[in-house]
Amino acid sequence: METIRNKTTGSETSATIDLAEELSGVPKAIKAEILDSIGELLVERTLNALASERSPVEGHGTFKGLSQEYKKLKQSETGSGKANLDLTGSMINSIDFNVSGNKITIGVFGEDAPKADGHNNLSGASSLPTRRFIPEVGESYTSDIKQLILDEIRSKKAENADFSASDLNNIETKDELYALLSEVFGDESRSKVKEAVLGTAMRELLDEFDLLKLL
Amino acid sequence: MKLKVNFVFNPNDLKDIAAKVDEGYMQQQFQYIVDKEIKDSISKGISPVRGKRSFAKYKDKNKYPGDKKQSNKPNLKLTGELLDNYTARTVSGEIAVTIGIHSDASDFVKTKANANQNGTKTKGGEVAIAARPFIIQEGEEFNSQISIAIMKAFANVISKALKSMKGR
Repeated sequence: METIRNKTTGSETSATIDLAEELSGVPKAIKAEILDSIGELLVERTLNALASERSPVEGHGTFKGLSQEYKKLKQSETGSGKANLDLTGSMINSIDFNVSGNKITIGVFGEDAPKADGHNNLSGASSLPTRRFIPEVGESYTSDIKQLILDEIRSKKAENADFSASDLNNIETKDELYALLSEVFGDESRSKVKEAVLGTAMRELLDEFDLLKLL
Repeated sequence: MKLKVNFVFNPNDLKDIAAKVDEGYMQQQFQYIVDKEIKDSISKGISPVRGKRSFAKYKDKNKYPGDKKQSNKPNLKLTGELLDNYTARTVSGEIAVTIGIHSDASDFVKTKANANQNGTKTKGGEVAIAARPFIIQEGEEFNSQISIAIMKAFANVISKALKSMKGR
């Protein structure tokens, strides 16, 4: 899930992320739903990282503290001297995403876009300390966020799995069950598959056919 | 003398498994999510409800008594009583939990919860307290991180119950 494109205009500061690899094998019918969930997840994790004064982008770590002068001003206006990019809330409330094909474009849309580029310096024109919350081309999100994305995809696959009664009736062994499940989950490890099955409504489907004992 | 016996493991339906669920373990798993994921999100001014994102800021942090609100970023924590009542409870005989402010909370807490969840208006129709949804309602989901933690907790609980059935 690498960033393949940035856009820095007066109304958009964004990154376009390609998820083709992560989505390979996902049925077309649920792709849009999964991409929408991942987009929302990226916005949530970005807000969460900002509130903790750290970057959601791999390699950028904790944000540099505010200058004494600006910290004083921010403290008096908001009660917080944190480098959380949240003075009025306007910029962080403008973080959003859209989906196209296998790609998600995430960023700040609207009049706060130039402010976002000031912090992210995707254009290379900013003189502010870089506090990156939108990845640059070639960058990606932190490993915990990438892991969450894979968990989200697995959980959506489980929720949308559709087996016929004949598929399930013929299962007698653990290997047969995992072979069938690999049609949904690909070559994921058995422990991850088991977690997704037991953690979602898919457990009810398997239970109907008395197959939980084989997990 | 040791006797080795193989038991037949044959759960007829999830009710059999539910009967084997360790409710104490289940409660612990879900309360951990409430404390570490849900309340952590709220403390950062971010709704734990999917799609709701940041809470509306306090209009005037200085109107709160003493220096209790030091920031305009809402965390729904003035005295702590509201969030102390935000808990996870198991549902006996089912593989289910309820998460939120429960019906046996004090009227004061329930009123406060409702005001924050849905917001309130003045007699003139202006917003008095902005809605800051912090509990999921019907048709809603927790945000991704919390939903995934819930999925994993259910998997752990059921897996433990299945193991205990295999070993009985």
